[in-house]
Amino acid sequence: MATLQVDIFCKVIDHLGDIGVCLRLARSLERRTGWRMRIFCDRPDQATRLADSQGDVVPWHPWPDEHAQLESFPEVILCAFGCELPQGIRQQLAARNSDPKRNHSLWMHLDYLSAENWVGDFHGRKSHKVDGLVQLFCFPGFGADSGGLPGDPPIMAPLAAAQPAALHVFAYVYEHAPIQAWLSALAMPLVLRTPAAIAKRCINSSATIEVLATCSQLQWDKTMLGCALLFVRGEDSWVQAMRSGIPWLWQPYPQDPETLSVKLKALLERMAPVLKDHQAWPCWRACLLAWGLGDPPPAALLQLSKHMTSWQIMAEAWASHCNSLPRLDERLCHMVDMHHQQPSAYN
Amino acid sequence: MKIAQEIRTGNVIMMGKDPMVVLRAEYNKSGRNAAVVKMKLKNLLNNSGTETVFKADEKMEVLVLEKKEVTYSYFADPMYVFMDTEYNQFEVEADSMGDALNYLDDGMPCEVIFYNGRAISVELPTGLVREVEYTEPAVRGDTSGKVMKPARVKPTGFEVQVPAFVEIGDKIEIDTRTGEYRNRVK
Repeated sequence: MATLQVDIFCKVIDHLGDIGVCLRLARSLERRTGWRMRIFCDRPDQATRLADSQGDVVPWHPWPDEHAQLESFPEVILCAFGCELPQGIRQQLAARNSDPKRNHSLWMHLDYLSAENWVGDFHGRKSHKVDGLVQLFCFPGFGADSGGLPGDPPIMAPLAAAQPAALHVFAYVYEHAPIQAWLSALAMPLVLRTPAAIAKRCINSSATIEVLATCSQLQWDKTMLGCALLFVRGEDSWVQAMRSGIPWLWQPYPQDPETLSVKLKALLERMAPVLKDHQAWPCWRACLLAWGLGDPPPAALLQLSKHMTSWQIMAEAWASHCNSLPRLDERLCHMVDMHHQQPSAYN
Repeated sequence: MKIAQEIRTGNVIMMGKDPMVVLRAEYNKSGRNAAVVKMKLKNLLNNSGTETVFKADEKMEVLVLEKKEVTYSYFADPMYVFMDTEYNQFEVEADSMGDALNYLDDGMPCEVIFYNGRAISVELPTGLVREVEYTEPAVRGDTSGKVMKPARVKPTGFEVQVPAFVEIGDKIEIDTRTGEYRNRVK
């Protein structure tokens, strides 16, 4: 069985979402395959905030200088979300992979999750570079021909014996999201768990606000999973919400409206076959579209909030579907195995 | 150097030591305003084909090749024949036509690209006007242009997504780089 060294390279752009995905992926791969994982990040000071001192063994490393070379060269290099390798490491990779006497390292690109159909056609293709290097592209997705779904099926806390008087809402949204209007439209007592920056925008709502302190990713997951309604954003929190069985609304990363619409509709087309027999599906669909586009809350939101049990049943059905899909870590492992032509101990 | 999203059908890029003509380029937005491009390529040295992907901002070495303005003349299987203003004819293999086949029309202006004296591909204008051959009836009142529907254009039957207000017989301008509707032409 191959015990490989796998290095992930990731940069912090504006939020911690990208490194959040990388940390979760590295943790899962390390646990399931025994691979030796490292994550190189340009902001290790921020990245280490996500790590859990109890549950994480993946070491963080600072981004190498532009002309530095790695002392221990990995069998697999994964560049996350479009980041480029430092020049020195790229030259090191090129020298290694042009030498027929040496084992060639696999260089991979990990792209963003999308529900669109083109993902399956792009996934697994090689990218031939100007300097002769070849990079293998991985496109996570929902289809059988994609790179699989990121994240892990979460470990759910048992339900409380009695339902709380107020709805516990988790909100992790981008700056422009009309969160206060949507909370008001729920028209019920709320306890809002949210970071400080978002809490400031909700002070005029009637919700009881619990400000979330900076915490590890695992602690963040626990907080999210203890709520009854999730407003999530980006990729990492969205995937965990989908896998949880808790009702959720998703805000994609801010882009032009046409692109947002395309991505939202692709997701809804994936969800429709699973949820079409649920009477409340049109309401959830309308809310997903409106929230994703940054629109005011539709009347459907009030209808859904009055029937949280129906919403939860739909969320559980979708979670069951998502948790049955091929996983990203599994697909990556398979791609690595194909390159090295020997199996890993994936379990 | 160009970046991947600037590459068009008919361009020739270097992949290692091999000149590759671009037969098709498909552009998609992935996430966080990033984009990726899939290209169908043909090796000019050995005629082998491949499909490869790039990040949209990846730099590519594009060969500057000789081009000639021509118009489309006729098809003589397996070659498409083009003619310049002096009635010189140039033949391009059907396999090398790529996306140009979607828009082919008698007298269509384009450029033939040469490599080592051989016509290897055609480059289209960035926009072409085509008449709608068939589409579902227009929806009254929807002038927003946000609701799209498929439409087939003459003479090739190529399918384009058009706004709901477009009707059969309308002339529309298509962006040949992406296959997308630009506007209705009066």
